[in-house]
Amino acid sequence: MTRFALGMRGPTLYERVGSVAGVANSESNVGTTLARLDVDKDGLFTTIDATVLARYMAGFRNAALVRGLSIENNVAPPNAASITSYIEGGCVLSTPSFTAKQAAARLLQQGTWGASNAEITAAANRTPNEWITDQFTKSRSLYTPYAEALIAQNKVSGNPRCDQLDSGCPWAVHGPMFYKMALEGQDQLRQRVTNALLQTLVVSIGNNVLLDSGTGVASYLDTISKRVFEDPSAEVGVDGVSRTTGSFRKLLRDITLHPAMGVYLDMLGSSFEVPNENFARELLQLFSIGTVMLNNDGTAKLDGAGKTIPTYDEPAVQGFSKAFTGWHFANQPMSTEPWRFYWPIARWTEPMTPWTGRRCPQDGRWPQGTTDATCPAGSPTGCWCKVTGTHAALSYPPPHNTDSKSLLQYANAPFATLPAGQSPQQDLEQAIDNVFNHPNVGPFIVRQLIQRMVTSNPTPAYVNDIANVFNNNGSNQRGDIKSVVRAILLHSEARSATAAAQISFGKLREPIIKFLQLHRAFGATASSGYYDIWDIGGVENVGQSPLKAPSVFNYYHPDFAPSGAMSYGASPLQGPEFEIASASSVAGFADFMKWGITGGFNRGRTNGDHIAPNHAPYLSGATPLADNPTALVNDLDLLLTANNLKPGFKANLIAMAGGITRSDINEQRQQRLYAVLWQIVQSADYAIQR
Amino acid sequence: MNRRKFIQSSAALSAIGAAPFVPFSISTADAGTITPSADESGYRALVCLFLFGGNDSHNMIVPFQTSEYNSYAASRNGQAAGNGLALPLASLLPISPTGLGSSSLGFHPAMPSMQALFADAAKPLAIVANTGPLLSETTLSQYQTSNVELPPQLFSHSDMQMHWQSMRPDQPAVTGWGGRIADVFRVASSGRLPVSIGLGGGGIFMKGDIATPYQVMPVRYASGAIDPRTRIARTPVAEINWNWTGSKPQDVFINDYSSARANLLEQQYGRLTKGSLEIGEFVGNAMYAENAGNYSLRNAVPWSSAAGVLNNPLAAQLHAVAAMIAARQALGTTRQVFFVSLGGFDNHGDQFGNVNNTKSLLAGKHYSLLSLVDQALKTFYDATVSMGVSNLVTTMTMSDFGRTLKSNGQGSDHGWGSHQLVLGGAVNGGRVYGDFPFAAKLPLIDIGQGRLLPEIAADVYTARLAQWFGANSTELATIFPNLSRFPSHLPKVASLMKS
Repeated sequence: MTRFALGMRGPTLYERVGSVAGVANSESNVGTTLARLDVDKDGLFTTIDATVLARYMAGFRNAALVRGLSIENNVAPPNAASITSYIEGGCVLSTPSFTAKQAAARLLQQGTWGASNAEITAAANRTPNEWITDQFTKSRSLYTPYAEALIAQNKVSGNPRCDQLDSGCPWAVHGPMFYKMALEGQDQLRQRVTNALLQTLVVSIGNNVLLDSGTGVASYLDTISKRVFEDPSAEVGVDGVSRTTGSFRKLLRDITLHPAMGVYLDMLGSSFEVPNENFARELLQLFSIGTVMLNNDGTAKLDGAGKTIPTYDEPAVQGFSKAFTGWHFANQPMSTEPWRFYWPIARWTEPMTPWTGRRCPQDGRWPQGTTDATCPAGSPTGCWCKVTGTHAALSYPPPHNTDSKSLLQYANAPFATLPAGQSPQQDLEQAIDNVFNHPNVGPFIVRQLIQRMVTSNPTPAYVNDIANVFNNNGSNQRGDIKSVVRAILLHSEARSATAAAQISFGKLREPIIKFLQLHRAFGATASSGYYDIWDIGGVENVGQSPLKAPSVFNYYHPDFAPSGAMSYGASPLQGPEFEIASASSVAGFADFMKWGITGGFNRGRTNGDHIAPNHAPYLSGATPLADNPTALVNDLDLLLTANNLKPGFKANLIAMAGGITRSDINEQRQQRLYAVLWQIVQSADYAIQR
Repeated sequence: MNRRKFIQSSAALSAIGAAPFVPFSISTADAGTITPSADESGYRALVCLFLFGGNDSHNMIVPFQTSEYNSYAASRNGQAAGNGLALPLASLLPISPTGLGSSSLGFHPAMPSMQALFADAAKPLAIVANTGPLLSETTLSQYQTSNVELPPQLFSHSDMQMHWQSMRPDQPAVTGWGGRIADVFRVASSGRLPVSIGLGGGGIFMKGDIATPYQVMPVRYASGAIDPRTRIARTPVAEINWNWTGSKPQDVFINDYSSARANLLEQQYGRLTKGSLEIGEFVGNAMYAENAGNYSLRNAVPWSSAAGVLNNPLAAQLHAVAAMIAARQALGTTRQVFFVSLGGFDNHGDQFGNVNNTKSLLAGKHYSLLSLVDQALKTFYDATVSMGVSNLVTTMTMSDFGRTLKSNGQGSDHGWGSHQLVLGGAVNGGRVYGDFPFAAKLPLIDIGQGRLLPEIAADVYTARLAQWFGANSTELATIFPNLSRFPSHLPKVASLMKS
């Protein structure tokens, strides 16, 4: 146990202690009972827990059990007495109360893609803080290696999934990759946060170049997920300067240099003559500060005339555009192969690097790499671009714009002006410093994170509290996403039943999250490990396709306010997800769900690809829930809505289920389950996550 | 003029009891005669096509005479061969707008149908030149000296799209002008089907204070016919053989929607779904005959079955529009506003294509998109002619902004003023409305990089269409609250429509 707590796995766990045959068992036993062995109840199984247990086995009790350990002076449980009685009771987790399970189900709605009854019960045995801490330790699901492996498999003759052996169908990996990680991965909170940030820092496989790359968006996801739970630390930037910062600054720099973003918003290849403004504008408008000055609580600042105050002007956009010139896919051999500008070696998993070679002389033709002796020297119009020969004399300046640049002007702004003559690396890191330290970043980013996870209309006080954490994580570090996520989920507005009872609380579940939750709630996985789901984004299907936002403005705008019930009063409520909810999508989703509910989604090419839900507790065993309509409805209510179904609706569901009778008892159970599930999935009580 | 001055002067106007604001007056010569057939009861449909991303309309309509063309080409940094955005002169499709001279302009080479419609004897196609978001009439020097109120966040996609859709850019966008039209004309529908109907986004455009838009899906095709799964109206039906006792299975959750609940988001979703089911059933019954689980339109729509049309995402939306127009009597409506869209016009980096291994503007993203627009508009217009409703249906375009005339080597960046198309039998076509930005004009309106200061406010252009739709002066002032700020722009589009 001590070795396990220290992180040892495999043979080292058992070496000189027992037989090799016991390795796998011991590892899995300790692993699966971690919650029980977490005797100090801090959410983690650590050397402290191992020490306490070892002392207990050696005969220590009470104060001696915890002496010298960090739990020694606890006055509230856990303390020496409560730990002793817990161990002597057999380390049995208590059966959580219904209230505890409801609270846990709410937490898991906010922090996962969906949870099973077992996961809800396990979370109910921990505090929310313990659950979050545990999530931080889950190993990270990696998208890129899986995408690469799929493409490699697809290139093997006779594979069942791709008929283009030369390419390996890279465009076909995104669905299988996304759903595999979502349905199998243990790092649920990390995935949920990564996806929330992807919906702010948008790239999309709606772009055909990224779709066909196979690994561009996969690598981009890994770039986000790597940072989200990273503690602030010192890091040497691409400019060679060491900075100690929170993860959001590193993330902003990473996405700026990621080739998927480079392609999506045209920074890749932007050159000094006419800097492309696309990325620079969206970096400011969408990825960091927004268009108007904000108070720390996320509300707009107003000037003396009561009008909003712009955060930047066109010269600032042009300043950033110039600062971001001169980058291309990593390590293009430009000076010897200038046609690489058009036909680059696309290195999707490496950050962009400055390109210093000459751009192909602007003769307007696609460059080629061969010598043409007949080409008149010095003429840019009569020739194709040449690698060698006399045309080497046609020199072009390096593509990075070395002018001085005016960036964001605000109080204490670092690098409000970039001096002339800097390197592309210096300009880039300093431009990121300039935008990252703008006071809008905290409220602008955390409000959207709250909207993605907890509620569409957080109070200014909630935003203010979380923005404070963004501005300073308690250790004088700014932009610590990990601390921000913990604070969002632990805030009273996220946790308290009183807040949840407010008439403006909650958010419309995204279609993708409904789809995933209905798998995860019933442990639906594909035994083949292959998730044969492509694009189900049409309104006749799910109505939203993961990784495929229609534009850099995401699937919906964060401030979309639907007309109707939510527009009562002076200030209409926002409901971003309502922007993609329409008469067609509601009806289409209902149609789509009816077959998924009955047998699991995507029956696939083979039985192994069937993403089969486990409905056994409802249909079989000593007391199948479907035989007791009240128990059935109560169970699904907690599992799917954290007990948000209204009493009248539940009564109708119970009556409806009881009215479904069949001579074949198995058929009766199945049809009761399907009917109740279908009804719940259509209901407003389910649609709104509270 | 700043905002405060404007408010003072408009207050002064009303204080002296100025004549009621009459936005547009059409000269007798321009007033056409439109005789709706007796059973139409004045039916009118306005089809609003949004080209998302910012259409480079300076390449959609291009000066064609040599010296003007040369000036245009220079402003676009020359030909593709030199990374410039000028279309080759020989590729342009010349048109001769009334008053501008023979072959004075040319359509983009991907738009042969627009060229033909512009020259068509019925003159159904007009161009509105250099229109865009403004908060007041603005001169170059006012812009340069910041001595004028400007729309917030010029050149930003979302803000400019919001302006075009809401026409209230100086206020939080709560409603759109399509929704406010629907509020005014809500009595024109049977009360079951909203006046405003969306097929391609436009959530803001169609929002009214009262009206809730109906969002439907474009038609898709399977085996050469409308795929029944994409029928316009759907109702979720439990087809599984569950032994429901009593009423329809969906009644259980419909009843749940109807029951009182406090949470406003739940109310919102409940009403959305209830409306979806009720309207879906109504529209479905009005439009389709169900035949052995399949669906066919009760009112046939004459629609091209060319392969290109069947794969054209804009045509798919317009096909659904045509189907709803065909079913107007069964749907019990005399006024409809449709929102359709095509995205992908943000061509910063993909405006050029490759023809015979040569960088070219006769291929590439923008070329492909304009081909789709050309084909879809032509197909739709032909369908309205065949259905005998071309005089009752007007299609108009909007887009975020025009683009910079200056090339960035791969494409163009965000601009401002842009040209728009208006198509239909009620249009006084064959003309250009507003001042086309020829060479002599450019220095007066170029704010830099070839971003053109609009000379017709978007409000004025769109309000003229709302007036045709039937809004009177009072209603126009409600729908377009900033309209009276642009007195000198109003006459420029007064004759755009025959009524």
